[in-house]
Amino acid sequence: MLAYLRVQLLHKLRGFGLGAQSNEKKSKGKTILSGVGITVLMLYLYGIVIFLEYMIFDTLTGMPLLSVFKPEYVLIMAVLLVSSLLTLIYGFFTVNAQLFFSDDVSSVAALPLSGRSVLTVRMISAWASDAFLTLLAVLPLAVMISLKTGFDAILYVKLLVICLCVPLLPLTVDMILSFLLIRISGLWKRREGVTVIATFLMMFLVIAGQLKLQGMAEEELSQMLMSLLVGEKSIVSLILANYPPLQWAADGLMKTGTAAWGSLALFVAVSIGVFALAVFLLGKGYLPLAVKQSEIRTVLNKGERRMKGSGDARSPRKALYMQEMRELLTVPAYVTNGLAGVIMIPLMLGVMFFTVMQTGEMGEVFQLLNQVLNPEVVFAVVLGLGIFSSSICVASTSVSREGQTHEMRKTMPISGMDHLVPKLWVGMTVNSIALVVIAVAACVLLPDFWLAVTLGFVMSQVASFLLNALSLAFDAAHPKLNWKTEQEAIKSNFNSMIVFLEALGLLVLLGAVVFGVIKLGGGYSQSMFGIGLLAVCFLLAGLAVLSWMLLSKKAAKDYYLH
Amino acid sequence: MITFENVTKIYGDKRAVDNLTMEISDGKVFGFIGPNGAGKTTTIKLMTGIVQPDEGVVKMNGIDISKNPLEAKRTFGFVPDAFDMYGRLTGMEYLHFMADVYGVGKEERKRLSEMYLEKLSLTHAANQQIRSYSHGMKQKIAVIGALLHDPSIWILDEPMTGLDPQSVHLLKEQMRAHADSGRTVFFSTHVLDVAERLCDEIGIIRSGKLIAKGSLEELRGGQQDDTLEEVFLELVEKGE
Repeated sequence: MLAYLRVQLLHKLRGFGLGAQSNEKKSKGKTILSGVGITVLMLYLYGIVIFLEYMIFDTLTGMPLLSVFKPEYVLIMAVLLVSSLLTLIYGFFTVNAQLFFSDDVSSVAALPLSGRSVLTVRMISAWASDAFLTLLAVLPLAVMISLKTGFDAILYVKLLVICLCVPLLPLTVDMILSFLLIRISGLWKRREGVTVIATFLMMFLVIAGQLKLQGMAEEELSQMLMSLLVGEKSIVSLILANYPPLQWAADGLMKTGTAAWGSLALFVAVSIGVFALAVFLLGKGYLPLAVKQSEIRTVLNKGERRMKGSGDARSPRKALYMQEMRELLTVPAYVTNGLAGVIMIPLMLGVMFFTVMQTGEMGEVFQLLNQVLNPEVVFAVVLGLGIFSSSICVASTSVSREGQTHEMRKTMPISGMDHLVPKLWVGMTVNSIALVVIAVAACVLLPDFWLAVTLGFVMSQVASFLLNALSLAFDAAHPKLNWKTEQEAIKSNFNSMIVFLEALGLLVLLGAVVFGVIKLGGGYSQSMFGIGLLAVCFLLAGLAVLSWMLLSKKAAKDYYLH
Repeated sequence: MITFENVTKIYGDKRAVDNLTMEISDGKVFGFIGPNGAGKTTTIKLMTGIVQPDEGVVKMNGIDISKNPLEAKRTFGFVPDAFDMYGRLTGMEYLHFMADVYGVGKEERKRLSEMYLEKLSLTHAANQQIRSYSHGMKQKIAVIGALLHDPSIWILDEPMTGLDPQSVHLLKEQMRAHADSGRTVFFSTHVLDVAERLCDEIGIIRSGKLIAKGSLEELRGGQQDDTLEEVFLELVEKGE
């Protein structure tokens, strides 16, 4: 078991190493550059977490009334509570995937390792990541407390022990749920669908939460924090009352003396004990269940009747378009990443709409807007939103997503444009969904400006064409074909980042054109603004023509070079 | 020795392996052939304890793999058809892992790993990550990993697929040497030429049933000039 544990952890650790994110063969320079980029991004995100913690810590400790409640410790408990909840929610998908959907199940089942050993190792591997993240989240707070109250080694020891044990119970629940769901339901059939829906739900909650927080006044935010964190009826207190282990950890941390150590020992014993007991009870049946799960797709294909195709003859372009769309809509990694932008825009609009509705001032707001706005501004806003939503282009990774099938596709008796045009259509189809939602929403909210909205929609389609064509041409010239999983095809591919930058660049360029026209015209006026927007339309059309030429002359040839 | 006693494995309403009874004795290279979907891989999975039989007993060197799985699994080394384990480990790290799992001592593992790496021309790549290996190299490292604990039974699932001629030759040599030392080699293959030249005994499976078993001469019956391919096609088509 120890050998297997060592190998699992080593393999996982190497997954974070330089150049480990992708199987693509890169030059040393590119590997270092991407490693530096990812490190900077991670540090940036961690910096945001530290900043948020510092802001809340500073706010709480600055309130004299709260000093008796040791708010710094309450904040730590809040962080641990959030960590537990996140482990419980996100951990379910990780544990489920690791236990029942990993590729090496059959190979491991042939080794002289018991089911309990394998289950123990996989759960320890899942625990290790969560424990590490919890430690990372709590460490800045520990440092802040030390700076405020002086260094206390005992505090660090207690926090270390608590952070290591906090993920155990949520992971135990995730493990039991995974076993139950795999056992008793057809979840495996819908696992990918559940993953997709859960991801979008999570995105919706995050966006809604962000917009809600942004809409709150500072005072309201402080009051909310107080009600969440401190006081007998705070949410933290309520949850701790109903989740005894964390209450024991809180007592162990905040109190002193033998009782504190006793509580801490109880927390550790229960966390480890329950985890170990669950692994012991479930371990015996783990391998057969995991193998059965890994074979279930074979069974399904053997048992079910084959779906009959329509048998209609299609042109190569239409056939490739249908195949590309089908893949985009059925592979979870592609759905969550490719369609995310499409879904996000309507989600954001919906949440904003709902937030404004809640204030009861919606009708007045839009009445006012209908009066003060002019068609040029509405056109510009619709176009701007359209370009922004088109910054997520599924075409930017379309060639890369062919992966190992790229070689086979090159043997087909069709031209490079026959390969690329369907991909362009797919990109535009996906972007069109968001553009239609924007246009419809704008027409409903600003009915007087339907013409401007319609024109804005049309030019957004031109911009979508431009961005999709450019990103597709880039991907055809620099495809990343050596991926092992669909997730890697999307996530390790920076082509999608490039199109985002292109969209931003386009917005800046168009803005500069309008600004330039206004300047040349001697200052802002509605007519000059309108002329500026007309120039933008011609520019977009011209760029679209150039991008088409790039696609047809260069990209169509580049496709066959890799 | 490998023993199947009335073994059946059912998936849904399909009998992937249907009342299979056969015995493979020591000192033989046994080739297992059959059409696609015949049940070859399922048979191997039953032998290696990956799946459990719905009926019957599978014994490896007399040990019932369902009742004593760990003990039974120590008697064989298994090379799967697609090796995809732990791509971020180096070849040597993988071999050390396998040696640890099977309890191979430090000196012994060093000796055997160096010997096999040299034999299979993989020494130069031993300290590179497995994910950088070609298919043939991955197959070779899987072979070495399966032999490190000197198993009495060696099971390979379609081992020749994707290997270059030199690697195929090396692998055949290894299989022959293993059987000649009094141990058992069981492998499934689609390459009938290899089975014809290498195997001491051949089993032919179709739709989960063993339709023939014996040496090539026995399978030929009266038709001594027939190739294995002809014998195979006749047997398989006769059953249809």
